[in-house]
Amino acid sequence: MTATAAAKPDEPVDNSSPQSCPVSSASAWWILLAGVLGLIASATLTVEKIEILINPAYVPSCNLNPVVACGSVMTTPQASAFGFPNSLIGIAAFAVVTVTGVLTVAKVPLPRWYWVGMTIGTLLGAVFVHWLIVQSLYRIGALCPYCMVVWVVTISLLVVVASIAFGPAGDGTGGVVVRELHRWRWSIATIWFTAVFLLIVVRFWDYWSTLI
Amino acid sequence: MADKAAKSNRPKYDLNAASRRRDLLVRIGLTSIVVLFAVVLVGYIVMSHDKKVAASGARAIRVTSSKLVTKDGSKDPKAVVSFYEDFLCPACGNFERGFGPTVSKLIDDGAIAADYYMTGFLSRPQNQDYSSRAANAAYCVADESIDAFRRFHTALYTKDIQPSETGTSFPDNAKLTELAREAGVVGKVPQCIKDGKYLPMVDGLVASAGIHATPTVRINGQDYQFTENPADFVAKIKEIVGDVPGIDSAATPPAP
Repeated sequence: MTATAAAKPDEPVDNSSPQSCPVSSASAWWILLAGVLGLIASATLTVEKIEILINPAYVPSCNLNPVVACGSVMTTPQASAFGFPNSLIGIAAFAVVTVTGVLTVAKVPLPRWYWVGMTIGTLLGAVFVHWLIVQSLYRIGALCPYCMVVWVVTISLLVVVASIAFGPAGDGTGGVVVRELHRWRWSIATIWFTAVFLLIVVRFWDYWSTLI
Repeated sequence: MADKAAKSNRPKYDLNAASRRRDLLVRIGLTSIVVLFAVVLVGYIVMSHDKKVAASGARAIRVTSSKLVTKDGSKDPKAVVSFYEDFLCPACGNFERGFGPTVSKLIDDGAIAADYYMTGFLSRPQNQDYSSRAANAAYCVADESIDAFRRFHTALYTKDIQPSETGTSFPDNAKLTELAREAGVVGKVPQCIKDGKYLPMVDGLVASAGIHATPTVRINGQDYQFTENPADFVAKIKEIVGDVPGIDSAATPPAP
């Protein structure tokens, strides 16, 4: 049953099996892409961090201008929120995401509890990412490109994973709020990204206006 | 990115293809409207905030000489040239190293009154707020002596002292105090630098002066687009003040 459902991802899917969740191939590829992108960003940040530790005068590859710079961001206390570099969490977490992506692309059915777990994990990640956004904009006053990749990847991943875990509720079993939330999830995400983008524009307008 | 995923991630309730496509279009349409509205609104607010040129609070360091050419029957200078600069900005460094000697000569000849607005335009925690601290120090020095300010200002733009915008080390307050001393002033300067007396004014200068870039040069309040050639600037001043003795030899080629 589940194998059939996964094999035809674009068809309305049979949810009669409580053990697994249907995943469209677009979602599967997105999870894989998100995992790989997140992994690259975290690994790069970790390597740059090590370079800075070896040589404090090292200028990281992403120091482009006074606003877009990761050297200054990486050396802040916020970059080691739990006493060790945040990027180490990223390496571990995005490795899990990558494996999940590979499994879903290979159409290996995963149980519902797995997706719920992924959603909880991604939600924690998203909360952390938003804390980092606030710190980056209003405390540190700089944007680190690799970190922003992680912001985008984590937030979009939350939408994908949550819709897989709770998607069946969209069929009308989970009430009108959940259903509409599911239906409008990409609209909400788009507006969310726009809001963050506008916050960045406004926050650093003094600098951007010099580039125009 | 999100939009692309939205297309391939259709809701899974029972709709036929046509109404599903309509549903998708409605969602994309409404989302676009909200996004566009937000961008336009924020853009409008930011731009109009920019244009509010409140000159209040902006303080200039006026450099003149006793020979200053004034308007007939008043003490107002014929030509006031305003320089909005930042001690960190590389373009300001190039400008000062290229035009500085010419401007200096025009001041000494009495052709212009120069108003220097030293801003904290590029000030960021990662450059240790060098722009603001250096600008503050310049005002501190100017409080004691305008001549010392001229030396201090020139010194901070020399290639040896001006730090790289993307560098990692920036002169600290002790170094600024030392440079002020080398420019010939002590007095209240060390305390003034330490207290950051002019920091709030310097940080608000960009907004209160309504500038978008440094260096910005204004001649009698009009934005002036300077060229590579100091002689063009001298010619423009000559149009305003006439044939001031020495003005023809004012244009100094940029130091190599």
